[in-house]
Amino acid sequence: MDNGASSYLRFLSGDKDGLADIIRNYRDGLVLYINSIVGNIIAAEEIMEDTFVKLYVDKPKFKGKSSFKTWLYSIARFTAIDYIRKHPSDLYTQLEAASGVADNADLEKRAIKNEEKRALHKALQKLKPEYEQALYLTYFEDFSNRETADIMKKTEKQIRDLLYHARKALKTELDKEGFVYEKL
Amino acid sequence: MKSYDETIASVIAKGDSIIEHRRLRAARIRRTTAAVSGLCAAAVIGLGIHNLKDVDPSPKPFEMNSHDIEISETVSTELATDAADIVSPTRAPEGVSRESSHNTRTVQGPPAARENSTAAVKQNDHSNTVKPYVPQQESADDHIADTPSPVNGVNAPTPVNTMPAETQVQVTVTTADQNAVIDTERRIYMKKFTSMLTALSLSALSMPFTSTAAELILPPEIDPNNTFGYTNHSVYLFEDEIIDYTKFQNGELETDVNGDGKFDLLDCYEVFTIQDEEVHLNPDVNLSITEDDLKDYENLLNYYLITHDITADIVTPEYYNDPYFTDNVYVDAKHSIWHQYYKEDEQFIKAMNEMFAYRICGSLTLLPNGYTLFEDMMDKGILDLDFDSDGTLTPADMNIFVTYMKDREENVDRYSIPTYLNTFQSYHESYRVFTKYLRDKINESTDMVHVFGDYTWAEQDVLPEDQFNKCTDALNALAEYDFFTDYRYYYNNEPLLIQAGLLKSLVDTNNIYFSDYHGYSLGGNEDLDSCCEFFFPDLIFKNMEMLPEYSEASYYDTILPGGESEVTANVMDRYSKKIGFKELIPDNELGSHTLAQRAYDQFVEDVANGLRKAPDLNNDGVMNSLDLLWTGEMYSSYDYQEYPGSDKTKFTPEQWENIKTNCDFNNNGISGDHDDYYIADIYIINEFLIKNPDDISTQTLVSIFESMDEEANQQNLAIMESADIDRSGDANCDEETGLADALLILQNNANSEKYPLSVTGNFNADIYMTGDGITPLDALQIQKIDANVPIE
Repeated sequence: MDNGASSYLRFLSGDKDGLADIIRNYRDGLVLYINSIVGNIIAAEEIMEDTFVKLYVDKPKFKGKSSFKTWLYSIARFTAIDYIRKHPSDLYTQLEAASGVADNADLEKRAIKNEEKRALHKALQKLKPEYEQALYLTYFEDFSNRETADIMKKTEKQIRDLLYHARKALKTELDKEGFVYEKL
Repeated sequence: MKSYDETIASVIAKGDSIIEHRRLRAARIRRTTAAVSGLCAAAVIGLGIHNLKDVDPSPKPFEMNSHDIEISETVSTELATDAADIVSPTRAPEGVSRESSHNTRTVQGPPAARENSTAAVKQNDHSNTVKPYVPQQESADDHIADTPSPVNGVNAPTPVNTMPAETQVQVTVTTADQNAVIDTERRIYMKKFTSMLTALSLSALSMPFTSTAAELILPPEIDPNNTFGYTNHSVYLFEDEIIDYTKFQNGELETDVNGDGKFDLLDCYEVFTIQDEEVHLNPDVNLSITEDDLKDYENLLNYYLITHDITADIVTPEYYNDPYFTDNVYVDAKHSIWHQYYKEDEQFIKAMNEMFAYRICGSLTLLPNGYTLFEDMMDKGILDLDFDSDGTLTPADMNIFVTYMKDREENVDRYSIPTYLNTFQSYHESYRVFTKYLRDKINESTDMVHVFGDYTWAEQDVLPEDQFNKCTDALNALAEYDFFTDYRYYYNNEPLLIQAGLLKSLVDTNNIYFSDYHGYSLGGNEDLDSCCEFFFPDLIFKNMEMLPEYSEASYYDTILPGGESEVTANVMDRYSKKIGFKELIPDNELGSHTLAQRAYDQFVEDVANGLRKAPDLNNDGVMNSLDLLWTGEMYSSYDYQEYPGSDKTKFTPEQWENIKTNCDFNNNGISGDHDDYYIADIYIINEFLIKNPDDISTQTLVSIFESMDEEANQQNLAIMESADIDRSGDANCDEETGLADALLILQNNANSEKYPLSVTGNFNADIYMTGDGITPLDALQIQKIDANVPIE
């Protein structure tokens, strides 16, 4: 039980540093993941904070049926969906906020060390969101198919199908730019 | 982007603010409740005392020799009026058109009501509507007639003299009978007693409310006040909303926020057009909600949508161009976030209406009653799904549409979708909004008209022209009603036929069913498998029975050679399963008796008659709850056959042989397929797990699922120890116990994501102090076993 679970337990028992550790460990990855859902880095950052606020305020129970990270990403996903439903106009308004682009690039640089992967991540963003999410979770967060399925609330088979199509689309996208990624 | 410390500080600040807000709010509700209940109690007691003070306070003994007794009571009209106000709170005082605390406004009926009465209120439209007060001439007669008997203290049959309001009313009762005296005395004391009881009961009623008010979070599934029948199956989503819905339902939150006497779309529209700051910045905002309440009112529109039938017109922006709406826009343009985008004032209302319609569309894709929208579209001829024009919806129609969409997906070039469309699509997809701005831009493009108007049958080689054109029409019609996902601009996606498929069930069961399912659609559009594709079958099988051949590709091959028969058959197959097995789940009684249901029933009967064996998936000779651990593996293993190399089954060779030979539970000739999985899963749950909660296998199963839960672990520890189940230590499930298992346990402890343990592995590995979870001590124990070190 680790990778955040023990920190979370610490937090539940009253130690706020437990939550701080979780934020430090997962913040960047979460923002990138949420960005794949909402397509807006500013909103993604806000949703990331909302996700942690949920932990802080509601203290949902982590039952350990999945890894802590899977659980956390699931909450983030629902928070993002909730956000989209409630604040579509915010997303729209923030379209014009150019500063988000710089934020995204900085974050990308910090969270994804490997240059090749950064190029891949850029290409991912041109895919449809569900492809982007599935590929992001498996390539960048190293989630297994089963964990990705848990987060995206799909069956494993659906994830396999999804990844199959997503890889095909990504390959097309990379081919256009003359980029070869051998793992595809 | 913020630094980590800033993010942490921001999270904590936001969280503290929410906690504080909740605390203050709960305290305020507590105080208000206490004050109101105290006031009620005082009012009722005071009233009781007041009523009694005018009658003879001394109990009169029975006066056997009295013959003529006269009781006089004088009631001023002023008292009568007061009393009527207290006792009959629905009456409005003269000169005020309704009792609501906010100002009265008079508005004409909504466009729907005036024009075609389309916004019919559903059966579960609740009594939040405030009854409009009908102005009338009130006379003293009215007051007297309205004054209930407990106030004047006189029995109703008593002759009442009606007099002008300014005069006093004297009511005289004369009896010459001793029994009448007893009767009257009894009534007086009964009134006294009743007053006291009323006061007490009012006070008592307020107490539980006061005590629960501090915890506003109602358990979503157990809310005693839930009168509109929702079931919340969502883990994360909707809980806040449901709390709000319940408040609207119970009248804790006023739905008629504009005070026009009814709850309709105008209330939602007006709330939509205000911003947080405007509630206090703009004194003209004439709604009965406070700044604090505004957050609750985010869900007013959703509440309206789930309690009313939705018609095709209310999701169009034009509907809101009616003065009924536009005259009631509260937004001061300079405060509007939308205005920042729509710089020109004259476009403002138009933009607002676009956004409101868009918001409704967005909500409908997630709320249970989107289905009614599509029914209305079909009723009005806006959407025609009878592609083969045979006058009825059949599986063949669905096959045509699937073929059409698959062709689009696979032959992008044929459909001449220009490159720049990709940009728009990406733009749209990325930002998840498709507002008028983008829509206009695309529609302005003549190329786009060309694309969608001109991709014609001439290039199609499967569908006849008329069927092709009808599919195109349907796609265009659907696009108009879904701002989120305009399917005309997707070339590699099947249309969802919107999310209504799942939602259909809710309409049938009259059970508003919130689940994370609804959220899936926003995560992407690949969830056809589980959700949206069922809309079509739902429509089809409203009027016909699901037959076995509909799940067979050959059936469609004969109707439409070259069509997407496999896809259609698969959808039908999944649909039959969904409907069939939903019936086994309480609270979800849907659909007809389907194939899957019949197969299950047959299996149950055969097992009961000894003709077939109960599922023994782990091949240990008996069926018990532990077999449930293997149903998932059975499902996946069947897939592994189809996707060789993608993974491998965790069954041992013997177990796998058992799955492949003894597990054809639905008798379709294939052992261990997905149908068998469903049957096994439900059979084991229904026939063993539920019936044998105390069985050791059930207890063990529970302990496994809760193995990470410390508290449950402590409770289960004793059970596990007494169970005397040998744990093999075989963490990697390779049928051997050795150092590899110890290593995996240590790796798992260090990084459980990179080195996961399967459910069985997890079970096996907990060899030391069984029940306390997987620890390095388990690894040590295995090493000792491996090294033949004696174990204490």
